[in-house]
Amino acid sequence: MSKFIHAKAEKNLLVLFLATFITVSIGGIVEVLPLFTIESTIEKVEGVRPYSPLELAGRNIYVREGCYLCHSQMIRPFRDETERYGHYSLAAESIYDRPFQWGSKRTGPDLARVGGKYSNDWHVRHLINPRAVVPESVMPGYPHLATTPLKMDAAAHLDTLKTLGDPYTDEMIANAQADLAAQATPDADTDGLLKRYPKAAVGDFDGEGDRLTELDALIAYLQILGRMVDFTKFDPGQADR
Amino acid sequence: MTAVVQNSPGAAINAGAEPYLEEIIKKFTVAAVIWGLVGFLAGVYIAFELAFPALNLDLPWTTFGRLRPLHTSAVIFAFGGNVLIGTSFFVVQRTCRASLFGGEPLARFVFWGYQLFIVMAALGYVLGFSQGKEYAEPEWFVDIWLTIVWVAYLAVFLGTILKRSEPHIYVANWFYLAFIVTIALLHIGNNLALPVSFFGAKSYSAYTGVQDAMTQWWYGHNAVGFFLTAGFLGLMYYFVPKRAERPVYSYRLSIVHFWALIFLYIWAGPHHLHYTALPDWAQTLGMAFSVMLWMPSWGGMINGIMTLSGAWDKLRTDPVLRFLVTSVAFYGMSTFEGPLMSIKAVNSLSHYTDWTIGHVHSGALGWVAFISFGALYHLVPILWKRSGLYSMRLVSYHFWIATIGIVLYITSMWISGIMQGLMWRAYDSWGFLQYSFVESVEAMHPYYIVRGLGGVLFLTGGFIMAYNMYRTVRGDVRVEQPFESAPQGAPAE
Amino acid sequence: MNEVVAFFRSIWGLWLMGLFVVIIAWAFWPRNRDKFSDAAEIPLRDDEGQPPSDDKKI
Repeated sequence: MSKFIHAKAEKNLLVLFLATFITVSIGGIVEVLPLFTIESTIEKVEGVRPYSPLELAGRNIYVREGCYLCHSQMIRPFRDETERYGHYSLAAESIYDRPFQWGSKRTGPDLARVGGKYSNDWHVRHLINPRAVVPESVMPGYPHLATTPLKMDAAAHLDTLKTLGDPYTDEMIANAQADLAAQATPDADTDGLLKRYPKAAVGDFDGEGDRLTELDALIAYLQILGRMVDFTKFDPGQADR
Repeated sequence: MTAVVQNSPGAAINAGAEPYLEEIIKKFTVAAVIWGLVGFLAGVYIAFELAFPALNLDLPWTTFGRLRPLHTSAVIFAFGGNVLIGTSFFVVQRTCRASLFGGEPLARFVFWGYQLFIVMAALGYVLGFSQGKEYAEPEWFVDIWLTIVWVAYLAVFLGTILKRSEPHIYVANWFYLAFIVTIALLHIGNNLALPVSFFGAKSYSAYTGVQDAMTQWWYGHNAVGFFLTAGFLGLMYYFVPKRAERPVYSYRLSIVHFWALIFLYIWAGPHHLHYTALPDWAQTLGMAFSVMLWMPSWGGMINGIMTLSGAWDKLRTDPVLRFLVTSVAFYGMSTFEGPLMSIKAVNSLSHYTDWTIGHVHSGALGWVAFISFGALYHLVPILWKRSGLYSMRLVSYHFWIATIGIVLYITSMWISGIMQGLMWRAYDSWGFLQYSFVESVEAMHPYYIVRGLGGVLFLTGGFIMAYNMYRTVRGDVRVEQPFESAPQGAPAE
Repeated sequence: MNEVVAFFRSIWGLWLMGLFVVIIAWAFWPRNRDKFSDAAEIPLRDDEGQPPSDDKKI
């Protein structure tokens, strides 16, 4: 077919194609790529660590259920937001978030610092039937989370994240499956877990004793949100914002 | 340039002599109408879920969080995508005077491959497979499949332009081409991810945190810019002149419109991340380019609307043209509102609220859906070789019902959005936050009902369209009073 | 040399402006007028329902 087409005609299309490609690439090159190289993009803080296996499982449930469609995890530096939700969010706080879950809509409140604000028991009742604790809420209920056993090949997940560059150690991967269970088992030995994942909330989240459910995982995730950064050592002056 | 084709050595064996392929465009048309109804219905349902949470049924598959991606994907990728690919196949053949490259088999692969992508994505959302990135929710294996289909689509489109017998590449094709190329770039760039296992759906994004956010909104905003704008501007530059039976107001303006639009749009993404942890320089760039974008957008709007100069009376007699022209007016409205909302001071109020939802829908319902309806109404009699539509009166009913629906939708979202923003930042006289969050939720209730009703009207219009098209395809013609001064009722194609 | 590069980078706004002027000039160049007004007629010429046969080719 192509031999029937005059070179001029082909050149027009080639020029149009390439010029379009270059034109739409410039913005991305100037705006997106530097974020990967400029050091001041992410402020230096202490305390942010990769998620524990149970928190990661909970985060994956958060992603799966589309929680980000109604809840943001990004507190903007305004007086009303910091008074309502806490310290404004830092870029450093989501360096282990794949994908980021900053959200774009607040049908419900921001969750960037919800960790530790409510008891595990409150979360259980709220997630099973939100209107049992907040009558005006329009959030769906998630009763099935309490009955669905948590299934996760934790080592494979941590290994994938390590390949992508997250600093999971061999020790973390070797203990992944044990840590997954230990974090939600009452009276389990959690010394190793807490050394690997400082500040992790431990305990029987869903009140179901030894049974490890999706609800355990989701609450473990919610309870760590916003609690990792040590703000006593944070110097806003060096943050580029 | 004209001499070029005449002297072409192959002119004797004319590659363009095969008839235009139109069976495949019929399939895209039918798919667009069906997916449109599915998408509108899903939208109405989730709108009422926010007003009456019991509708979530507390089942895993029917919660807002899983149905919302179903709604957005059904209307953007299933309805919008089928309209775009279908009309691009129609327009590229007619304006290049050549039949589709690759013939029926390749075009059929694009059609069925694309439908498979839609079904896999939709089932995935309901069953709980999601990457968790807005408008890019399908998991890695669906993304790879779409990439394959998209490459085939690009091949059909470029190949058809290559075998054209028209020396000039008409500007509508430029917009379609920019849409196809840029969507490929965005899709691949944003969806880079590593699956946990080859046999599992779950994957992790190659990017984290702030870089992931910027990549996502580089993608997300340009899904709007190139899928919902550039692609549909391709429709505008063909169907508005065609229906008005006069050339576009200024072809030169359309050239400037094209280059300015595609250059500026790609920068606007960071306005979705104002006051977040994204560095300030990126936010400032995003805001500056978003404001500049107002100019080419209005240049395009003027070009579309002024095409009717001297033929304004056709608006009264041809409701299909009314859809097309009203869509361009909505385009002008939402491309004014967009730059306004990208200004940081305004965005500090509007972000995270329903105002954004209203803005999106003034573009999605008013611009994208209306221009699609106009194009589909224009296409159906041509494709099925009928003298005209079954009923022009029904087109007019559709127009008015849908327009009232849009007005209800966007006004209720303006009120609720601005109210939310003001309630969140309100302080009482003692210096405390005046409202708890849940009080703002409660205050939204009446507006959510009005918004849902607006959606019901829009959906009703969709059903009227489907019925009208069904009767047209069957070859029926409704006995009805023609619109004043229309030659034979429907302007026959 | 580096200073020269840095200087040209710093005036990127001017580059864009120049590019824009080139596009405008091309679009409004008097000699292109006929070509463009002919191109604008393309959608209105396609009513035959199939591609032109050889003899009708322009």
